[in-house]
Amino acid sequence: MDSAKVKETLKQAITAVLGKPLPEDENVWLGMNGRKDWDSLKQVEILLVLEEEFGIRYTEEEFAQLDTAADIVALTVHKCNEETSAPTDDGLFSYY
Amino acid sequence: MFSEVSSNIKRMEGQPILFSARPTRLSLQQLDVGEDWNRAVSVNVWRNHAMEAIASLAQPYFAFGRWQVAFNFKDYDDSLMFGGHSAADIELLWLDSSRYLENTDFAAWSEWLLSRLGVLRAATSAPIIVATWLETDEQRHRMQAIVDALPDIYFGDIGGVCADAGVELIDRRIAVATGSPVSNAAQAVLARKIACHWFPAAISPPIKALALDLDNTLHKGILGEDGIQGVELTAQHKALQEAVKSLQQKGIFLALVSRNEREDVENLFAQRSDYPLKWDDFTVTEVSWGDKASAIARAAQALRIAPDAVLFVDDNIGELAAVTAQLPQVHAIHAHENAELTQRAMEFYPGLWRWKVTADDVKRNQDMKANAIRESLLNEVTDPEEYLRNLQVKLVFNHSPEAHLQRLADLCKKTNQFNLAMRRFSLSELTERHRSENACVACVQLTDRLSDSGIIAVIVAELHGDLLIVEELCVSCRALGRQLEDTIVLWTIRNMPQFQQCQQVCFRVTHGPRNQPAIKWLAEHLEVAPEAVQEGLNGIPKTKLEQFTPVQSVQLSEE
Repeated sequence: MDSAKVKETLKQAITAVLGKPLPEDENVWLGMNGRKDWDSLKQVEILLVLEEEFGIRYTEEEFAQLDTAADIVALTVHKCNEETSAPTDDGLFSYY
Repeated sequence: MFSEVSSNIKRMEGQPILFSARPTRLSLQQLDVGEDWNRAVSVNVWRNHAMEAIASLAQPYFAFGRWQVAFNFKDYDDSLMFGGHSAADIELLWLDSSRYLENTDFAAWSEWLLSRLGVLRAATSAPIIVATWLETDEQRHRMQAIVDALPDIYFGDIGGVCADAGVELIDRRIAVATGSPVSNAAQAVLARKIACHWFPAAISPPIKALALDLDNTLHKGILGEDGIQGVELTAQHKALQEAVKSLQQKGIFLALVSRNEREDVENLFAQRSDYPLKWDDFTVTEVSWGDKASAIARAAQALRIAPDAVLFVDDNIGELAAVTAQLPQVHAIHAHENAELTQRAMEFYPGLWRWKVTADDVKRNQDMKANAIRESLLNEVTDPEEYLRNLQVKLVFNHSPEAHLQRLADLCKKTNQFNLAMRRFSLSELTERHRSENACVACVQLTDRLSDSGIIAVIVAELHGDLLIVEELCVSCRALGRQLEDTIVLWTIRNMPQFQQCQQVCFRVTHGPRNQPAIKWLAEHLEVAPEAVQEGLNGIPKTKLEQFTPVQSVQLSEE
């Protein structure tokens, strides 16, 4: 998964959940975090958007522990790539 | 006018997102369907788990229905103390049943819940919705029985909604962080259910008729170009027609509003046996090359309903814009190329879904068809008494209609034309008056040899000193046009127990947008012009009712 796609979706998710536009500068908004820019409830909402858009699942701990927007991007890219590399049903079938 | 039309189109543009099979959180949060709301609604939320996220997802659906909804979220309270209650349009109990059932059995909890509902019922006459999930069918039946025990209370079956939508209800991963175990997928479908079904069915005047375009709405293709065998009934269009037919069987009127040659359309329905909808399913057929706004206005008139009780479905945005410009009260949705989306937009259109479908609802279509025969009978005879004798009309009066109070509340909510006071009494308000010694709630049932119209009138009167004040007077449009209004109204009042104690009968009047027939009826008894009928109380002497003779050719009885 391309991190640019994840960043774009995350930006849309944060904008929709917080109800306000984010700074244009990527370095600025990627530094935003759940300690000062949104609360734990909004963080869950943001992650639920990403789950839905990318077909991934975060653990209960990940919902609670994530820090900055950049951390969310990194974890999401990692999870997307995990999902992609995991054998699909079709892949499994091809072994037989 | 232009902004009205453009906002209607903006809402229709949101349909593919709002009524997709599984609306996503991001798409709903990004959707802008406008803010031209025409009704402000307040909701008290008594809860033991979070509801804020669902309320947020419901906002675009409320905007689609042109509501602005203010939620008053109360603190989490398992004990349902209802502290700090203030008036609201809807009371919502948002309950995680597992928090109770971990510690107690269902029977004990349900008994306790019934007592708490009694406390809330005593504090407010607003409709109450109990939204929760249960483990078994037996528990769901028991919950239904609990809410049925008190007036104007409804069971919102959260588990059933999620099962129907094929989504998991519970997601424990997010329970601690969000304050609720309701999953992300469930949140979106519940938001739609609440905003499009539960709330409008509790407080809105209902949609009574579908005005349906034909080409590229009920089938794919254009009859005039593709021919009878050339138009395609796709699987999605077939499902749409089946859904329309199901609504018809529940009492929703169907009007076919199509620009075509009438003969072609009749032949289409005669020859396409694969169509679930048949020509006779339409109570009104407006097939011509004239404008659709006039056709819909005529259809509403023929059905004796107001234009704001009509939902117009058409694939042509230009037609939709033209109709909503000329008849701004008419509701409208865009028929999408994918008929599955049209079906969902129709089924979720606010005001179409009902908490309960009554036997009287089911009779409605048959009764309206019988009206056409009645009208031709009326044209054939010159003597009204002979007309009524031919029809074998029977009126059954009931001055203690405890078993029918729900139907009477529906009648108060739905009746627009012969509705004198427009009080729109809720079930709890009717129940309160039914139990009062100084008040009488009465109703009238109508049958004739063509159909059983069921309960067609409700009259509520209260004794204040020597005045008997008629606080609510509604006669269904199904009973109008037979010259029975005097017998229905005056005979009912005359037989109320409180009538003996009064010296004068006063009718409360509110001038509504469409209640001219009721005002005109009263004006004749007051012997004044309709425009001279005052808002507030209008009295007629008791003697006038005492001297009244009901129509002789109608059989009258008391239930």
